[in-house]
Amino acid sequence: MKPPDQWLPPPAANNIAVDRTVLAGISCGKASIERELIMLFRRLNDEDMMKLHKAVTEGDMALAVDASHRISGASGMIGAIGLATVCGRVEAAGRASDLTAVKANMPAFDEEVERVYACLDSI
Amino acid sequence: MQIADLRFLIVEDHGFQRWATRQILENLGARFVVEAADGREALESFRNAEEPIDIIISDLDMPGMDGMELIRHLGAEGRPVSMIIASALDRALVGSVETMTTAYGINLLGAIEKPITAKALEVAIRGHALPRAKVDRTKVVGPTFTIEEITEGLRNHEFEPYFQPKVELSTGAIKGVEALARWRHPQKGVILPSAFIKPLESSGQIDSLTMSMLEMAAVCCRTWRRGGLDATVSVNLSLKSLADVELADRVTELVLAQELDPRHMVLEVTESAVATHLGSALENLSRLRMKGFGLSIDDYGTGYSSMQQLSHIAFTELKIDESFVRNASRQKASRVILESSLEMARRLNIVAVAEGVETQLDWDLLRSLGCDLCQGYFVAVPMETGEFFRWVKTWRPLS
Repeated sequence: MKPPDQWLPPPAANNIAVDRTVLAGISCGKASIERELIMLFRRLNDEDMMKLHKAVTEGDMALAVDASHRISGASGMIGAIGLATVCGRVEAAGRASDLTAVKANMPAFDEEVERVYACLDSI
Repeated sequence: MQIADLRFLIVEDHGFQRWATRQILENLGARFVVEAADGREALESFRNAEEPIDIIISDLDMPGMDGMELIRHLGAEGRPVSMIIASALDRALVGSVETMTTAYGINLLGAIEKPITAKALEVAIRGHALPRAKVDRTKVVGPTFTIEEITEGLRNHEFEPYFQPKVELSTGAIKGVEALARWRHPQKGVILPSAFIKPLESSGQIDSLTMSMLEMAAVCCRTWRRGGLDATVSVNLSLKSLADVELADRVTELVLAQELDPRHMVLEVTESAVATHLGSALENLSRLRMKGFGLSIDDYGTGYSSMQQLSHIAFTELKIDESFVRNASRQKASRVILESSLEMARRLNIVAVAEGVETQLDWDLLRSLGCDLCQGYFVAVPMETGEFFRWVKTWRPLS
């Protein structure tokens, strides 16, 4: 049986996919800017994600570093700290030419992307 | 200057981050924002801008021309511009690039760790220097002169002191004034010391300039003291002059002849000057101190055996080099050196002067750290005598 605290949802601050206050800091609360911001983020992020998956498949560490660095920067900027953190791990593994570690982080990466997109879709 | 009046250039290869940075800038009130996807594009925009760009916000790690190469090219351009580095790279690496940026002559406002936030950006922008400072910081590649031309200028009394005030940070009161040598050349205008100090030192004729500066500075100091300004005057002593053991007596005689009490004059020496001729330097400096002159250690932190010199000589003032002052608000190492220097001055009971104060940010930091005096463009640029007297009348101590 799990200890009682594991039945409880984790603290919101640690588990939110996107910190809306960060988004609001860029959009100043204007819905039109927020929409534009999300669209641009998703379009460019989709391209970078494709690059990252391709890099992992082909074992191209330079491309993996570049793509994860870009995703990390962009996701940090919209307050998707969880995604930025996973990308940071992928980038560090890529810089160390550790393909195994890069691959090991990819499930967490995909999961975080799904959470972030779901959150952005709900806005 | 208001953010709305400044012109920005964002250099970022990631389209989303570039766009988001623009949004943040516009939210802060910016109206003129240009974007570039890499260093090459940025350089083109910088060169072709109708109105000069004031602040460049640049990423470092970019394909094509990266941020470091861009900084190098900007330095070579020699045009005044401020820079904010925005990077997610390792802090130590960014620290090296910060030092490199300053070395290339770029006015660095700070390094922001990504993701960029409005608050971090606003703080960095606030450090942007006033336009007059930018003008004075441009690289002056002046004419060169032969030693004969320089000595001819000395004979014709073409050299004069320009005055830059030292202000008390807690009250804004003018406590001291540094006399800086300028050559008013009949054809080529006002010439900076870099064009004449070295030739005079190499030819063993620097004393003529030193004595001339001392005399004129003493006369001016006597005048402003009679006018009610209770401020000392500082004059730089050359390392070559300190080798002459009779220097102290000659200086004392000259200053007394101008009816100025030696306690109203401060003699500034660099650390290296003391280290070069230790015996005669110590003798001269001890005698000058004995006569009542103030002694200031100039450019503190950039020479050798700084602390050793402080223990040897009865300095009354410590001038912390501008490189530590300018970087203290953004570089931990510089701030630590600045804080340690201030603490040491306090414990040795000597006056601490921060050089190179150029922004409100510098002023606020130094004030919060308890620094005694400051000097720099934020207060005033060096001025010729008449202009200085006019400036004194209009100066209102800052709050």
